[in-house]
Amino acid sequence: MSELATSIALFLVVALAIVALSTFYVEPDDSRALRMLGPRYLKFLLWCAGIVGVMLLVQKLFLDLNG
Amino acid sequence: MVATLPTGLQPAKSGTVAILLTWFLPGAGHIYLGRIAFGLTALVLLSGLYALGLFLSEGMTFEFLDPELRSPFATLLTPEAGNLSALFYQMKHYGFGAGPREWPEFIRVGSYLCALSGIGNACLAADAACAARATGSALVLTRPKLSPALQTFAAWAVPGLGHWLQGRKLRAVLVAGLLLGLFLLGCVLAEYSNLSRLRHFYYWGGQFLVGLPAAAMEYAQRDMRITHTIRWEDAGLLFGSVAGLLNVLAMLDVYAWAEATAFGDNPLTPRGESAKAKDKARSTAPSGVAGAGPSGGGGART
Repeated sequence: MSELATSIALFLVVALAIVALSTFYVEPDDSRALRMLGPRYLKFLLWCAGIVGVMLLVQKLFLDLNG
Repeated sequence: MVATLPTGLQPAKSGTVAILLTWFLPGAGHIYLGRIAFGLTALVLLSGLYALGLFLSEGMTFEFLDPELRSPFATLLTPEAGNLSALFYQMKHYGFGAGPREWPEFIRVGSYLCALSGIGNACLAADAACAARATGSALVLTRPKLSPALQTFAAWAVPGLGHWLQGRKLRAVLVAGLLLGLFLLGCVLAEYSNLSRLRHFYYWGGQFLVGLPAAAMEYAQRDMRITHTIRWEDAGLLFGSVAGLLNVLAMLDVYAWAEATAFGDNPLTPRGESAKAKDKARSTAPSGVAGAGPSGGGGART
């Protein structure tokens, strides 16, 4: 497995733990928390993807790592 | 089985003051609340634990910290900061040491005991907050045999144990699986090099929050020597520390549930709504009646 794929897989794991524990904190009821988990996980990943996109864009526009 | 909280017709005391006093000196918050014997016992136990740690480590714990990271505030990010007066004592009398020396034989145990005193005092501060909330109330409030603070300490000791003791078994299994899984994955990625306070001073503090499983793992790997570059070491450190920090969230969840149960609030109320409802209830409750929650405000339950 390439380093990028491994990094993404590890990110997905740690993101799941972060989202699950924060969901459990805000929602004390187990069944409601489990229902909320999927949408919150997706939302978290989309926001992270957005931030990655912005960072890549900034790098592309303002940084020349090869020059 | 339940026990009566130390309530009655005492004048209302500030939870914030009780927490701050406890943070500065173990037991001081309880003495402020009138629980002098309990406060003095806590003071002796937690300060004694720290003193034993200092004795075993010869006060050299903070010499683990890299010289370029040392500053007057550097130690405030350690678990020892939970017991502020003891931390100040250590900094004043031992500080970062006089120079390179041989580590004492039991420095790891001593270091762990000092950190344990810090987390114990944090739980004691939670107990002081709970006891302060009970003052000024004429209502008879109840709590489970295991106090909210002890349930919180159990949640630290073994991730998921606090939830299990509250009867929230599904959540206990999920929390334990996620946090211990994350911690173990971190250990595997870092090839168990992540467990040394000497090598990773601050990351050790994060992993300390995973509780006894981290201590057991550290003990098992105590003689480890690193002979090669570990490719995923940084990721492993990060995973272990994130597991510890997320356990703090689990501890808060356990405490909030225990406190709500003790004061007759509905523990299933979502946290944001609960706070708003409590504020509303407080603004409409007759003066001098504390703990009057939205679900009946801790009506007599024994």
